[in-house]
Amino acid sequence: MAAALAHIRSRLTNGKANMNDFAAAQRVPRRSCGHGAIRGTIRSGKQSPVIPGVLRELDGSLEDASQGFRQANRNFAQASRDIDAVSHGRAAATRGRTEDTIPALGRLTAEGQQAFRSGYVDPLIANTQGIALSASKARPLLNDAFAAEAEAMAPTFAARVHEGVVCRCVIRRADRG
Amino acid sequence: MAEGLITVPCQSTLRMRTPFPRGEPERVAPDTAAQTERRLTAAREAAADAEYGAVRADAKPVEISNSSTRLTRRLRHMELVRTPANGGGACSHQVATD
Repeated sequence: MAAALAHIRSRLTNGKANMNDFAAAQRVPRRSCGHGAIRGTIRSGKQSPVIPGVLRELDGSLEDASQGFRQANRNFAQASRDIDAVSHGRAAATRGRTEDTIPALGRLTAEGQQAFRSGYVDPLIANTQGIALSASKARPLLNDAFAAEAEAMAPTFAARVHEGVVCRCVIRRADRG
Repeated sequence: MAEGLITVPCQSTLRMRTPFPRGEPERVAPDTAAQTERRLTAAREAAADAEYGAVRADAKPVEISNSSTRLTRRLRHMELVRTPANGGGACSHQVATD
């Protein structure tokens, strides 16, 4: 790890003066990640929080120097969260309770929700495709969790499904009073 | 006597009716999850290239003395504290015995 840190430091300073060129400083994290010592540290699984911490600090310095860089970083982070929403949606279709999955969906941006939906339906479609022709393809979806999640994710679609596949049953309850 | 109205899925109506009227094209998910991930990743990279490239033009000189000082301090610390894992002995401090 010392070699990795020494590499980063050599890109930032020559020992007497610090680099102050924005474009060169911006290239440091990207080039450092390709450096053999840092790649080796990451691959060995012994990655300490030091290297990411140093790179984050450098990122902070760049953000202080440029408002546009700060905004670009925010946009990149948001885009990364939207991409992560695909796997969160995939996980929500197979496990977890609706009390957790529906609020998690609500916290996402519009793009994130779209990504979440895409991940959510994927395992369901895959399951449906694998069901035998003679069996009911709807049966795996006939449960309270899917009904609630479909209602939250695609209300219009859920309403149409509801019209078509749900029958109303009236239960008479004896009024003991 | 009170009436409570609840809705439950019914297998028989499920088989008889589909959610979409006859003649309307069946909608399928436009992208698989993997395709969505690839599309979003490509869009993120393209946006990042454009945005990070644009900020270089109007950026001020960057002050990195904090990062540099922290790195130097960390390296000094690592040189002092050697362990078998980083190639040093059990104790790196060579104590003069004479």
